[in-house]
Amino acid sequence: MIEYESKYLLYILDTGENFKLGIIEKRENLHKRFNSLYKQLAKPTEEARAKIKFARVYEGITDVHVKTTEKTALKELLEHRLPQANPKGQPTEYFDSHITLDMITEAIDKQPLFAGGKPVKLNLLYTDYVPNYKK
Amino acid sequence: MTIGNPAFTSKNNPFDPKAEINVELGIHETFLELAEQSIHMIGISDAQLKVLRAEYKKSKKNFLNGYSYTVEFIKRSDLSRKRPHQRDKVIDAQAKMLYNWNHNLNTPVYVNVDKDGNNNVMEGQQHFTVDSILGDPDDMVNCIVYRGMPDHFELEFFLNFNCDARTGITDYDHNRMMILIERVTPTGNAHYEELERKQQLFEQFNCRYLEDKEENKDIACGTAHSSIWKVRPNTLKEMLKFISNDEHLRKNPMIQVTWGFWEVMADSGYLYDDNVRNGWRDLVLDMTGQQNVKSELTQILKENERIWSSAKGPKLMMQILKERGVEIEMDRVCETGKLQTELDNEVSLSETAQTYVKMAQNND
Repeated sequence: MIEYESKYLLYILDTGENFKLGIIEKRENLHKRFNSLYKQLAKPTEEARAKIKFARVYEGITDVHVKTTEKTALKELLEHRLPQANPKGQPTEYFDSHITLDMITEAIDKQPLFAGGKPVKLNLLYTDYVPNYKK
Repeated sequence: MTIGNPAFTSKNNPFDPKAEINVELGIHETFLELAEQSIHMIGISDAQLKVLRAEYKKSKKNFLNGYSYTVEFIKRSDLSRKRPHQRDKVIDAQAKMLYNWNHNLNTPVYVNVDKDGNNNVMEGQQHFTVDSILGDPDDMVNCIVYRGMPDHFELEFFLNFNCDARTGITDYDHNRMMILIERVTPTGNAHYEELERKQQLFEQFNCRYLEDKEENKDIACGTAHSSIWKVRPNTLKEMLKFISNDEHLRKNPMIQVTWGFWEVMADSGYLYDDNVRNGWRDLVLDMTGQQNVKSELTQILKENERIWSSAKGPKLMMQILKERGVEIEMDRVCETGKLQTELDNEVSLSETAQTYVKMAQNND
C-alpha cells in the first residue's frame, strides 16, 4: 500500500474569478495559507469572499513529486499566468480567466510520477475545501 | 530498439546541418567560412596585407603539397625554442582552451610575422603554440592563433583572414567545430582524438552538449556541464545509449551526478549489470527525473548534517539501490569500510532516503 506522506501539498485556489496554483511546505499550515491568501485577495463583498476556496488540494508520496508537478504545470501554462504589478511583470502563480479548473488538473495529471519505477498519481486530498480561518 | 531521441527532429537536431536551429546559428558552415565573414583588421595596413596574401598564395601554388610553409624553410638555429617544461604547460592550456573557446577568441595573441610575410609563425606551429618573444615587435601582426590545430591550419586561417576575434557563435559551436575539425584532420594527439570519439557518441545517440546558460539547463538529453568530456568513452557510450533509449529518461537534461553514477558503476564493475542500471532508472524516476537527483541526495545528506559531495553522491545512490533490493556489494563500491558504514548510516537515518526505500518495497 502506497503511503502519501509528503510534507508539501499542492493546491489550486479558486478566487471566484480565476485560479492560482501553489504549494505549501508543511501540510499543517494549509489553513494558515488559506487565511493569508484570503486576506491578500481583499474581496469587497461578502458574496465575493464566499467564493474563495481551495478547488483542489493534492498530496504526494514525496515532496519532490509535489514540487516537480507544480513547476511543470506552471511552466506549461506560462502564457496564461498573470504578470506581477511591477515594471518587470514576471509571471505570478495566478492564472487569467481563460484558464479553467480542468486545464489545471489536466496539466497536473500529465506529470509522469513514479514510485518504485511504477507510475503513480498525486492523491486528491480535498475538493472544494474551505479551511477554518480567523478573520 | 530505438537509437537516439525521436524528440529531436530535423528541425531541432543540433547535428543536422539542415536543421533550422543550425541555420540560424550558422554552425552548418565550416570554421573557415565563418572566419571569412568576420574579417577584422588590426595593426596592419591593407597594402601590407595584400602583399602578405599575394605571397602566401604564390608560395602555396608553387609548393607541391599545397602547403605554403614547411619546417624545412626555417633555420632552427635562428629560432628560440620551447623548453620541455614550457611545452607541458602548453598541453594543459590546450585542454583548457577546448572547454573555453570564447575566452581565447577574445584574447588577442601575438604572432610573429614580419613585414615580408615571413614564416616565423612556423616556430610556434611546431610547438603547437606561438609567442611574441621572437623578432622585432614592430614587425608583428596581431591575430588569434588557434593552437594545436591541424598542420597548416593556423597559418591558413591567419594569412587568409588576419582575424583577431569573432563573435556571434556560441561556446557550444566552438567546441563542436573544434572537435569536427580535429576529426577531419587527425592530430595524433590522444586527448583530442578521444574527444572526437566522444563527440561521435553524442551525435550517435542524439544527445547534446550545450553552452552553460540558464536556458540550456532544461533541454532533453542535453547537458551544459563540461565534466561530461572527462567520462571514459565506454562508460559514456553505455550511459548515452541507455538514457536515449528510455522513454522517460530521455525527456530529462543530464546532470553531473548522472555520469557520476555511471562512472561509479564502471569503477565497481556494474557497468553492464542490467539490475543496477534498471534500479538506477527506477530511482531516478522516483526522484522525478535526473535534474532533481542532486537536490534529493543533498537533502539526504543534509538530514545527516552533511553537505553535498559529487564523489559521495553517486555512492549514496548505490546504497539506496541496495536497500531497494538491487544486488550490490558495497565493498566493491567503497574504497574503505568506514565509508561503507557511513553510507549505511546515512541511508538508514534519513527520512527522505527511507521514503525511497519504502517506495520500492511497496511495489513488490
